[in-house]
Amino acid sequence: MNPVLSVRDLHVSFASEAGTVRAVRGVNFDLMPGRTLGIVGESGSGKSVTSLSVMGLLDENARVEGSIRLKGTELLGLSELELSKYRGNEMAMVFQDPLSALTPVFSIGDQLAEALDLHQDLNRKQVKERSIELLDLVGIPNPAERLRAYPHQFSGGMRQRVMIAIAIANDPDVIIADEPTTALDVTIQAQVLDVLKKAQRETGAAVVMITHDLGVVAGVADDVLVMYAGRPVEQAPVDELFARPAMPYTMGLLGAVPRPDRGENRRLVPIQGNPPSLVDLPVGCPFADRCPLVEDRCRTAEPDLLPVAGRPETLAACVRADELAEQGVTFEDAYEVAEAAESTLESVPRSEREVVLEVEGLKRHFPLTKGGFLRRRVGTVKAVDGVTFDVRAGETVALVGESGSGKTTTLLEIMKLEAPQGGRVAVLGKNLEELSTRERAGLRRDLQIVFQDPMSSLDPRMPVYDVLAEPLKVHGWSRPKVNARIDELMKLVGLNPDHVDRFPSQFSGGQRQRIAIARALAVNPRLIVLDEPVSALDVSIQAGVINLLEDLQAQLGVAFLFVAHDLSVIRHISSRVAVMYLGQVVESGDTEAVFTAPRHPYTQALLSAVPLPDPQLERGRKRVVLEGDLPSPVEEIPGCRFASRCPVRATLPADDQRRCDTVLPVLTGGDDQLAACHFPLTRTSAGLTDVRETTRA
Amino acid sequence: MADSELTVTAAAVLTAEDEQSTGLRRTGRFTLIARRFARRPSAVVGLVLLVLLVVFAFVGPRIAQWGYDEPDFLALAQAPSAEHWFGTTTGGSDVFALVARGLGRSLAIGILSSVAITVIAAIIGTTIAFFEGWVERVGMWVLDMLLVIPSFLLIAMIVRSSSGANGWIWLTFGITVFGWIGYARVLRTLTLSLRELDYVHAARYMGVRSFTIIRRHLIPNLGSVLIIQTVLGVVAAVNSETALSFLGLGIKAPDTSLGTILQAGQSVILTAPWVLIAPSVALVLLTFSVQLIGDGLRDAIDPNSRSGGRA
Ligand SMILES: Nc1ncnc2c1ncn2[C@@H]1O[C@H](COP(=O)(O)OP(=O)(O)O)[C@@H](O)[C@H]1O
Ligand code: SF4
Ligand code: SF4
Ligand SMILES: [Mg+2]
Repeated sequence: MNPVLSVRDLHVSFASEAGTVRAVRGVNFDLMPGRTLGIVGESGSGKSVTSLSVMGLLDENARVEGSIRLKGTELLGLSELELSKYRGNEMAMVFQDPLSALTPVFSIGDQLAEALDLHQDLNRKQVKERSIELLDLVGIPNPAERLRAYPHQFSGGMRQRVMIAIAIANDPDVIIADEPTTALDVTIQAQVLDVLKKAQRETGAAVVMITHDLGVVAGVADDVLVMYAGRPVEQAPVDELFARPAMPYTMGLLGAVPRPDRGENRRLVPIQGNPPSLVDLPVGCPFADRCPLVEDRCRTAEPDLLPVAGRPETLAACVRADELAEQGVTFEDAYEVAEAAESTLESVPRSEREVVLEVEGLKRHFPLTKGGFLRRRVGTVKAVDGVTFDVRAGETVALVGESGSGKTTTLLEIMKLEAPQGGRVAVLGKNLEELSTRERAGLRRDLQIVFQDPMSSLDPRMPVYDVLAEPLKVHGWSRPKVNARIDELMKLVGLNPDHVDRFPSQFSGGQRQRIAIARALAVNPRLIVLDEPVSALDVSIQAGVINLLEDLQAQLGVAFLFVAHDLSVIRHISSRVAVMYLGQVVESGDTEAVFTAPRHPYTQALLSAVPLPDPQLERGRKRVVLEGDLPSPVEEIPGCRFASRCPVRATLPADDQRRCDTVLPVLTGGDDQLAACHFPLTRTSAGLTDVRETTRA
Repeated sequence: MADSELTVTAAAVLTAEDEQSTGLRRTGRFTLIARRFARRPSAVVGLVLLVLLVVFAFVGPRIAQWGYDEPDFLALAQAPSAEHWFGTTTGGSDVFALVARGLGRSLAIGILSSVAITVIAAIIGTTIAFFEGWVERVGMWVLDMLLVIPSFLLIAMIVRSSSGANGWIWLTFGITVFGWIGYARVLRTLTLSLRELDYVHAARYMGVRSFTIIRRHLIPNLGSVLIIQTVLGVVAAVNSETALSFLGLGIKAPDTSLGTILQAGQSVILTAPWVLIAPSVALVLLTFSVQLIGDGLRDAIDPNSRSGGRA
C-alpha cells in the first residue's frame, strides 16, 4: 500500500528578534490510508508547525525545506492557488480553537455550503441535503434548523463538531487535527473524539492527531511519533510505545503523568530542567541536559531516528537505544524515584483535625441584565447555588467540575472574605458574616491563593525579590527578617536564592508557578487556595510542581483547596474531593471512595470520560458518554440539575423520572461519601463499567 | 485623537510581555526596544533633529550677537545679514535671538505640561478604573462633564490675568489643567484590562492597600503607553501654546514664544518674510521630529504594529 501522506526531512525555521528559531528539524513520517498517527510532545516541540506546513498555512516569515507528498504530489513549492485545490478537499484540518476557525458573520449553513461549493459541483438543494447529512453525522440535533445558526450560538463542543463536519465535507484523504479537544471539558472531549472516529470511519481518511495528552493518543492512535525540540525522538506502534518506550525522554514522559485509574500513591517523577532554546540548540542530543542516562558521546552529535535492535517497529533517536532495549531498561531503572517527605499530621485522624474552612449552602447569583440605559433584569445566573464542603488542617480537598460549574466563583467568594449572598462560610472558625475589619485583615494572612496562569500572576515589572516581599511587607515584617525569609522561601520551592534579582520573564512557566507558590507561603498561611495551578504546565514540569505541593503540605501542615479539571491530578494529590455540576456539589467525600465507587451518575460519567494513558485499557473500556452540553446556568431547573443529561434517569419508570424532574436531591450518605441523587449507584453497580446494564439502584 | 492608537499599543504591550516570557534567547527589554528604535531611520532622524533643536534653544541665546529683548534700532525689518543671521523684525529685534528664546519657551511649556498631563491622567485614570463601583461611576460622570468645558477660553482668561513675566507658567498650568481629561479616559480603559490580571487580584487578596496597588502594579505596567503619550503630548502642547500665543491669548511681550513671533511675522509676510520663515521652520521641525520619535517608539515597543500605524 502507498502512503497517502509522506513527509521527508521537513525543516522549518522562522526569523525572529532573538535569531533564527529552528522550530522543526527533520521530521519524517508516512501516513497509510485509514490509519491514525498521533504526534505527541510538550508545548513548543514543533507539533503545530509540522501540521501547518503540511497544510501550507505557515506565516510568511517561515522557511520550509524538505518534501511533503500527498498521494505522490509534491506540495512544497506549490503556489497558494494550486494548494487551495488540495486544502479542504483532499486534506482538511481541525483546529484547537473552533471559534477562531469559523467566520463569525456567516451562518453554519453558509460555511458548510462554501466548503462544498469550492470543490464539488452541486445545486442548492443538494448542498442543503448534504449539509444536513453532515451535521447529523457529527451529532448536532435538529440539523436542518441549526444550519441557520451562527458560530457564537454554539458551545465549544458543538463548534468543534461543526469544524469536523466542514473538514469531512469533501471526503478528504487526510484529516489533520491539532489539539482538537484541548479546550474542551472531558465529557465533551469524549463526545468529540467519538465523532472524529466516526468521521474517519465514514470517509476512510487517514488522521494525524496532534496532542499533548497521552491519554488521548492512547485512545485514538495506531502509531505514535514523539517530538522533542523540533525533532521526532521516537516512533512506534501505540501499544509498543506505551508498553516499552525505547528512549529516555519517552520513558520520562510516560512516567510523569499521574494515572486516573490507580489509587496507589506512587510518587510522580518529573524530568529535570527545561527544553532547550530553539534559537541556540546545544551540540549533540537536545535532551542531554535533562537525560538521566546521558553519556559523553551523547553530546558529540545529534542522534538520528534509527531502528532499534530487536524492536522491528520502533525507531528512536538515542545513541543508547540499542543498548537500553537489549538490557530492557524501563522507566524505573532510568529515573530516580525520590522519596516523599514525611507528613507531620499523618497520625492525626481527620475527625480530630481543626476545620480550616467550612462552606455550607454557599450561593452566588448574578443578575442578567439587558439594554443600555435603563438596564432591566431579564434573569439570574446561578453561578453558585448550594455548595457545601469543608477543609481540615493539613489535607487537600479538590473541587472538580467542568467549566462553568462554578468552581472559580466559589473560590472568589471565599477569597473576598465578605458575607456571602446566601449560605455560610467560616475560615478558621470565624464566620465571614460577623467579621470585623481587623479580623478580616488578620485572616488575609491565613488564607492565600495561587492562580492558574503563571504568566499573569506575577507582575512582569517586579524582580522576584519584590514579588516575595510584597505579602511580608503587608504584614509588617522588618527588613532583615524579610531577607532571611525570602532566602528560605526560594530554597523551599526549589529555586536558587541568588536569582531573586531576576524578573519573572527570565523564568520558565514551572519556575514561575514555584515563585507564585512561594509568595503564597510567605506569611505561613493555614490554607492555600489553588485555582488550576498545574493545568498550564507541561506534564514533565507539572509532575515537579505536584511533588513540591505534596512535600510542602507534609512539612508545613498547610491545607490546600485545589481546583482542577484534570481528574488524574486530583486523584493523585487530593485526599477528599467535591464534584460540582452547575453550581452545586453533587458528590463529595474521600477521594478513593469517590473514584472507585462513584454514587452520583455525573461523577461516574466524568470518571469514565477521562482518557487513560494506556492503549490496552482504553480499547477494552466501556464509556458512559453523556448526551448534550451543560444547560445554561440561567435556566430555572426545579428538580435535579443533572436530569437533562442523566443516563440513569433515562432508564427509570415515569414516576421516578418525575421525582428527578421536580424534587431537588440533597447530599446524603455516610460520612465518607455524600451524593445528591435520588437513585444513587450502589457499590456493585458503579466502577467504570457500563451504566446501561447496571442502573436501577 | 490619540485614543485608538494608544489602545492598540497597550494591547500589544501586554502580548509583547507574554511573547517575551516564552522567549527563547532572552534579550533585555530596553535593549530590544532601543535596537528596534535604532533600526528605523525616520526615528533616528527625528531624534537627531530634536537634539539639534534643543541644543539650538540652549546655545542660541549665548552665541547670538543680540539679545532677544534688545532691539537694534539701526536695523529695522532688515533681511538676514552677517550681523543679524535671521534678519530683524519691524521693531528691530534680532530674529535669531527671538527664535532661539521662543523655541526654548515653547519646548519648556510643551514638555512641562505634557509630563504633568501624563502624571495627572495616569493617577486619576487608574484610580477610577481600579475602584470599580460608585467611584468609577462618579469619576466617569465628572470626566464627561469636564470634557465639555470650553477650555480654550478659560486658558485665555487665566493667562490674561497674569503678569507678562510668569505668563508662561500660567499658560503651562492652563494647558495641563484642561489637557489631562481625554488621556485619563484612555488610561481608564486600558486599566480595565490590567485590573483583571491575576497579580492585581493576588495583591488585593494579600491585603495590599489600594493606592499601593495602583502605584506599584497599575501605573508601571502602563509605562510604555505613558512614555509614548508623553512624547506625542509634547507636540499637542506646543501646538496649543503656539495657537494661543498666535491669537494673542498666550505668551505676551516682553516674553516670547514661537507663536508670538509667528504672530509678529504674519503682518509683514510680504515686506519681511524672514520674520515668519524662521519660527515656522523651527515649529515644523519640532513637531515633525517629535512625531517621528513617537512613531518610532510605538513601533519599537509594540512589535505587532509593523504597518506603521495610521498616524
Ligand atoms: N460576573 C459574572 N456575571 C455573570 N455571570 C457570571 C459572572 N461570573 C461567572 N459567571 C457565570 O457563572 C458560571 C460559573 O463560572 P465559573 O465559576 O467561572 O466556572 P468554572 O470556574 O467552573 O469554570 C458561568 O456560567 C459563568 O458564565
Ligand atoms: S542520546 Fe544520550 S542524552 Fe540523548 S536521550 Fe539518548 S542517552 Fe539521553
Ligand atoms: S436525581 Fe435522578 S436525574 Fe438526578 S442524578 Fe439522580 S437519577 Fe439522575
Ligand atoms: Mg474557571
